[in-house]
Amino acid sequence: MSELKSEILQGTLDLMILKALEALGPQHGYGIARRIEQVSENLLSVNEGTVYASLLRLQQRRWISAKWGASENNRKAKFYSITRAGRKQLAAEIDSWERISGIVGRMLQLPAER
Amino acid sequence: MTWFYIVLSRIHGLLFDRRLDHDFEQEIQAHLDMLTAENIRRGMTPDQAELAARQKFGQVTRIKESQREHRGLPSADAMIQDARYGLRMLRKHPGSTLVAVLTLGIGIGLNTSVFTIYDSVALRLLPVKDPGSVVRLKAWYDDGSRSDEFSDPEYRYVRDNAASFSGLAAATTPIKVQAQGGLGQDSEVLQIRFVSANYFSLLGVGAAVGRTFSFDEDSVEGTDPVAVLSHRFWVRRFLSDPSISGKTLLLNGAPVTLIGVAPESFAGTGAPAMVPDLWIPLTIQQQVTGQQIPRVQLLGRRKAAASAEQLQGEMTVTAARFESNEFEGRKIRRLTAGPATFFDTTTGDFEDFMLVVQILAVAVGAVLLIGCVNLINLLLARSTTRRREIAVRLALGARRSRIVRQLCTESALMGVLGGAAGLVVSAVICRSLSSALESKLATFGTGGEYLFLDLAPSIKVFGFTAALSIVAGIIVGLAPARMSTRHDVAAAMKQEIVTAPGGRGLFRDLLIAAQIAACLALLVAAGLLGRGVIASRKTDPGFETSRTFFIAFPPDAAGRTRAERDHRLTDIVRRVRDIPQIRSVALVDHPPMMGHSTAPFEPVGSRVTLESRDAMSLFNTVSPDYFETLGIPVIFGRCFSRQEANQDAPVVMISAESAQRFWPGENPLGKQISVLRELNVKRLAGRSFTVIGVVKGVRSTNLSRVDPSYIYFTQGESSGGNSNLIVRADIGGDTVIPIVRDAVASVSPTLGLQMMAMNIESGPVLLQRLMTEAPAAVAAALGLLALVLAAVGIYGVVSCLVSQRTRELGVRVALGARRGRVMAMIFRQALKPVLWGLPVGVAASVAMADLLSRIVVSIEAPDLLFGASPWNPATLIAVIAFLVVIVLAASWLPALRATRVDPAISLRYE
Repeated sequence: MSELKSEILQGTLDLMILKALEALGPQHGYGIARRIEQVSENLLSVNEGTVYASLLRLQQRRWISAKWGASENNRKAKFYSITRAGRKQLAAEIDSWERISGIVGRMLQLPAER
Repeated sequence: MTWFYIVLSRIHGLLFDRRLDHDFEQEIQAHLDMLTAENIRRGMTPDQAELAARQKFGQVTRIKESQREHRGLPSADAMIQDARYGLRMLRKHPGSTLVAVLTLGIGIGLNTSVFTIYDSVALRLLPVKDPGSVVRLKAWYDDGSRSDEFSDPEYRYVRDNAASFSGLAAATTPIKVQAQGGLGQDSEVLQIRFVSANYFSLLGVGAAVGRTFSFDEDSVEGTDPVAVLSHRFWVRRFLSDPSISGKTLLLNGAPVTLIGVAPESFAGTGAPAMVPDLWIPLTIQQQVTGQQIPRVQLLGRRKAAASAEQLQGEMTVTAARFESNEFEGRKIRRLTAGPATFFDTTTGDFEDFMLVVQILAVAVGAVLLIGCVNLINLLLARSTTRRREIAVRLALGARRSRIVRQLCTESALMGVLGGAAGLVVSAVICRSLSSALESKLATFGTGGEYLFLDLAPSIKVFGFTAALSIVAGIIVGLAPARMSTRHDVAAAMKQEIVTAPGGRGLFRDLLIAAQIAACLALLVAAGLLGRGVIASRKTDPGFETSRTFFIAFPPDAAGRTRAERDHRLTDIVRRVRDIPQIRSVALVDHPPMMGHSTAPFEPVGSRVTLESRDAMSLFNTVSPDYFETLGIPVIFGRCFSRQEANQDAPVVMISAESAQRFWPGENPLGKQISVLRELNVKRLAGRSFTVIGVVKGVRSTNLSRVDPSYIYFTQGESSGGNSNLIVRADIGGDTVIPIVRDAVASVSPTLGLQMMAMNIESGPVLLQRLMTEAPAAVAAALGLLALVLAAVGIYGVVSCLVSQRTRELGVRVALGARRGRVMAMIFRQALKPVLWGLPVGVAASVAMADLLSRIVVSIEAPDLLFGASPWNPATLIAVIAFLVVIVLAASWLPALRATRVDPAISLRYE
């Protein structure tokens, strides 16, 4: 059960990161983590490092790209930005997410039949 | 596409492992610093802030680890690590690595050689463009025979009617002509293939120099005679002259313009490919040879759109058309279009070849297995010394499967090195084999064209070797790896010495027993075959061989009509007989040791009921002078008279063995033999013959055995197209053939040119002797090799035993054991597995000997054992004694070392 949960989490984490990068523009791992924290309240409260696994996965698929740059307080940090393929993927995933969550939602609201 | 990016980035990750690690560390540090700074801003102390940041981030090490794992290729990564470690281990023990690589190299090399031979004979296609779409036509006749030669009308019919072919090329078998020209050398006899003009263009063979025929080179009959040279001939006669085009040669007096040279790799299209000196368009054939249009071999290129079924259907229709066209008394039953292989894979010769290949494969497989067993023992021995290392790794939490994988990688690496050595070994074997073949064939060849046997390894060979090496390596590594990881970790860490080898010792003993068994079987086979070789040197075939010669002419060369041919041959026989040095001349269907016929016969009035196998007899048709010519004595009755021969009288002569077989204990003279109606010799089929004489049995089919049954029919010198002459001279040696050739040339210069001649002793008899030597030599070489490998293995195992038991031996010596006792103890232990192996080996060698003798099933088969019984206790005992001596010798040194054990040192050992 816990495995399934983490699988779903991983997929949604990927989706959330893509969305965050689309919305915020180039961003470092810390910034992405903060954004997700804002939205999800405490999803990442313990294991912030896991965003890096997602970032690697997305990078390997060439949905995001990375570049070293300077952060707001002039620290060296790696900035990630969404690629064109990433936008396409994001659109497709949002689409299927909405469809599936719609179906699942309706399903869960069905009254019990006797 | 995404998966491709993933693989790319993972390879990138693999290559820039370190840099990416460093990068990631920096990235994480930046993240943590930012978190800490944020926490401080919220009012924590720096220490608290950092701690909280770390808590929030999660386990840094684990995240780094997982990053590393997902960045590269996880399996490849581990494999490379294993391989690196393995290489280091192999380098650390150069001696045992060398032994291992050599052992595997020899075993794999032998197997690769056998596969190379199989590949180049059975699998290789003609060296033409897109050989897959080229087919070779073959006719099957209703008497069961087959031929790939077609008459001119048949060729034209197929060419003009077969819709499945984009083209049909024709080539004659080699024809000899007299040539002059070139570098002003003397005239010489050349081998020529006449081909259709589209031959080169259809096959997609370009010229190495100049050009090949244009596709309409033959559209105008009899004009502009041109020729393409084979590469070999060009090198030999024109010393690779690059400006060859436009030069002329005189062929039988007719000028021919040379237009180009074929590539070196193009060996022609015959099966087997015999490379001629020249290719010339068919249309000018008559201009050059003045003979009737010869038969041709046909190659078609299948249209891409034509399916195999469509093609075969077309062949069936064509065959039906040919059926009405009877020639040589044979009817075409069907036509097939087979793949254009280098060698003909549908003949009995090919079946024999496959049998030999299978036997060889078993033998070389056994050698490789023996080698592998050695290596298993070696690794087992080494694993004893590596117990501690492995135990440490197990104790530190390495999974057992991980260590097994690592050890297997190590041995697979050894396998790969062995495979590389094997390729070298096989290249050496194949090269010496093909040069030996070439020189042997030069002895028997007719000159001019030569057999093209390319033993260069193909892609398939490399694939085979690679697969074999890795499999061998893993097989070798698996058992020792599994065993060495089964140790009790605690005991190994404490360096406890296992004095009683227990289960591992049993396994090792079984391996040695198997080695001994395989060795014994190979050596016994070698021994039996070796006896055959000795016998073949001493064996007298029973007739004159050194002063008899075989003379023959190409079937159609003597004339256009049968009457003309008969006339010419009668003339030739008379002229040859008139030569003073020639004592007698005979005509024969099958010259001794060169071909044979068998059929079932029915002895009339026989008291024994013959089983179908016993009714089989060899038979031959000879002229009355045959027996005198070869010096075969008539025991009973009389010889054929010339009148009987000319009138085709119903009389036969039989060998003493046939008389005994058909009418045991009776007088065979006057008895009748009837010939089956179905016999494919029309002249004899369905007739009854009276026995008029019995001759001594000789070895005329195989040198290895007296013909089990032999029936001689007779035929006059002026009837039939028989052109095989046996000539008995008063002198031996090389002077006879030129004299005969001159006499033949005085009848017809062309026939003088095309005459084939060889001495019976230095031709077919020598060939048969060589053919008994070859398998014996191979068996002996493999047997000795197996023995050496087994000896090395036993030496290794015994040394290992001694070093394992050093402490125990030291105690024994300290307690007063005498040297002899200690040595005897070691010997006993060394011999124990040998004694287990011997009975198995004896059983295996009896089976092997039985197999060797079982090859003699039909009456025409050679007896590899030369009449010796397969159950030969002397050979067996000799081989066993030899084996035991070798085993004792192999364990001598380690045993000696055992007696030199100094108790004071050995008790402190390890």
